[in-house]
Amino acid sequence: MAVFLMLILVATIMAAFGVAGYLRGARTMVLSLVILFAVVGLIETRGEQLVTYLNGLYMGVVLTLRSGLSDIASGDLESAAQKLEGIEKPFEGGTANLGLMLILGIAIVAFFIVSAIFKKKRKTGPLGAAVGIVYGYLLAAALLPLLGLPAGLLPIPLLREFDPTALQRPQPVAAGAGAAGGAAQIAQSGLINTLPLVIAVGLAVLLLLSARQTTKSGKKG
Amino acid sequence: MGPIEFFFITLIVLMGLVGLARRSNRELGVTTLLLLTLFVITFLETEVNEQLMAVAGRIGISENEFSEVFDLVAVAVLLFVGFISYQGETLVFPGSGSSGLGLVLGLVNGYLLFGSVWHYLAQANYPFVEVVPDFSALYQLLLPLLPPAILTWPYFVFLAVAMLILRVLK
Repeated sequence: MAVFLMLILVATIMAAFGVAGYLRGARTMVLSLVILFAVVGLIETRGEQLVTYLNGLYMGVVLTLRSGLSDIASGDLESAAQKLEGIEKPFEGGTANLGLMLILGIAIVAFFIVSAIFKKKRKTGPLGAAVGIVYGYLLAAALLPLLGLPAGLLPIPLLREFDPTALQRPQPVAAGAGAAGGAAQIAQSGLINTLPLVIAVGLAVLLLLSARQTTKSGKKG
Repeated sequence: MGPIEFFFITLIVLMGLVGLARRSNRELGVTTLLLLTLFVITFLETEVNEQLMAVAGRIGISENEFSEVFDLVAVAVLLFVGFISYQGETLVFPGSGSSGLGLVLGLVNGYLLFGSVWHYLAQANYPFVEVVPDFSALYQLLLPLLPPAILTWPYFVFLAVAMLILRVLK
């Protein structure tokens, strides 16, 4: 039942953004998709850090509202520290996902801002709808795990989860162990988690823009 | 023989030079065909592999043997498609294209073609050449970043279809 509901939700989000893409044009959707890719990439790789920043931001604002800054300015650091201790972090434990959903929300707001910027140059068409559907899928893929639904249920993940042990089949022991061990070290550095996403997004953007540009120049000539 | 990664990096750079000469409109056609080929291979590898393995098991082929054969067939198919896409009239995008973009797309094609060949050869544990450890840090960094290691069949099919749409779009 959960899978069925999830599929309906995914389809609805994809359809909504497909229609929005058709109406708002390909240019808006491509730029919004790039922004969403970047945001989802950040959430995937630096999720905890983002939540920490959000908590810090909230606490900073509340501290200012409780006149913590004037305490600091007057040298009363103890009072400021007490006020800071009294502020509860909004996104912690079970509510941490809400912070990440808020960041996803910012990406959606960016979609509307981009849409407003390109309002005059708007060209409706099927390409916008196609990019909109991809946008909807990516948004759903990022949103559903945050809602507590298992990410593995989503039928088509675009990127493979990195598994250093799956690099080689365990045939000659020395070769397999060397490669997997080394990759595991690189994986620990955090670099390997970001690079596949960068490659995937970069490749897609480069190929689609090149194809568009080449086709356009051909039709003009 | 020197480190295997330099062999493949050289091939990818050569593909970039080929792209420079052929220009972007021809390179995009090759890219589309390579994406479709990778879609078929990765789809078979991830979604139909168990069924194929079961069939192979019935005729007495072990799982390891089957996996090695699959990897080698994937390499053969990729090289065959690479050959026919560069040889003769295949899918060409409209327009005269540009050389600079051709260089970049040639490198992308090199990454897709020889990166995938490298991935499947590594999985099959380099059956025809003697590639021995210890592998360099560059090798260990690049191997997990090759196309079939990081991209799935939906990615390939989405991208290929989008490019075909762009090819015919007015």
